[in-house]
Amino acid sequence: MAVDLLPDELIVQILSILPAKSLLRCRLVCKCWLNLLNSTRFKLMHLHNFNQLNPRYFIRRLDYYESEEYYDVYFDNEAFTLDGGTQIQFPLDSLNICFRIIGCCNGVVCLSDDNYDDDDDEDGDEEGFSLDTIILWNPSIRRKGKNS
Amino acid sequence: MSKKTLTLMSKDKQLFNIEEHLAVQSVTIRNMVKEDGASSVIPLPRVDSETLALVIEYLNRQQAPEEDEDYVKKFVDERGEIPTLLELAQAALDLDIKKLMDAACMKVADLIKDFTLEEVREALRIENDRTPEEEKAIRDEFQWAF
Repeated sequence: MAVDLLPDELIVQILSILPAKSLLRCRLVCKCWLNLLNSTRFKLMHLHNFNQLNPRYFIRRLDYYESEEYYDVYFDNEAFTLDGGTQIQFPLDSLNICFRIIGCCNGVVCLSDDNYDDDDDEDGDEEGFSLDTIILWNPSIRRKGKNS
Repeated sequence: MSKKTLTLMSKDKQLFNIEEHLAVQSVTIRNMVKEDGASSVIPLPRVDSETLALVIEYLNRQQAPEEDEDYVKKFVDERGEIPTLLELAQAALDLDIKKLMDAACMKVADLIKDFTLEEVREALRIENDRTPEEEKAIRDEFQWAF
């Protein structure tokens, strides 16, 4: 039996409100979906539609003694519920106690790992740490990039 | 002044009456009425009678504006089957009834968000046009999402 195809507009509307993890699977559905999902136009639409429907906060907790940082996503509702569907894995280790959060834009987080060059170092050796490692991190799709 | 009634005709030629002031929540119908007064029957060749009955039920709702959001959500929730929701969304798209279309799409998205690849294809009537090798390459890129 031949099935009626759904109008593109409907498909785009439905996809634009799916969570990122579902979309990563949807890339495989067919060739034209992959093209759609890769397009800048769709990404902007998703950013707008999904966030409008699911206003959320991205929050860092810091375990100071263990020097561990944890990132979680909470819904912007009265109960401030944890978004259990979005599990954030933090893929990096800071040379300091934690990274410095420089900012966050359109779901991409910018972190820096400042290395305070210690002038009191007795032997005056310069250790091979790079200054100011900058990291761009997209937690929704677990991708990261570094400036080195 | 008596209320004017419009007649809508579904794909399977069933006729439905609805008061004009309710029908014009559909932008498509509103434009038709403006253009030619729409005194005759308005044909909706892509909407079947079951779906049209649902759309009419929605248009006939008597809701205070502040309860409307909840109403439309509940309305689509009660029709929780994906094929029905897609028909409804498609009709709402054709008729340009934005709230109904958004709510139906939202419900579909909510139902399919944890579906496997095959289930998504089946639900949204898409044919796989990739070889298993091509599929694997794309899958490996984000293996954790599967």
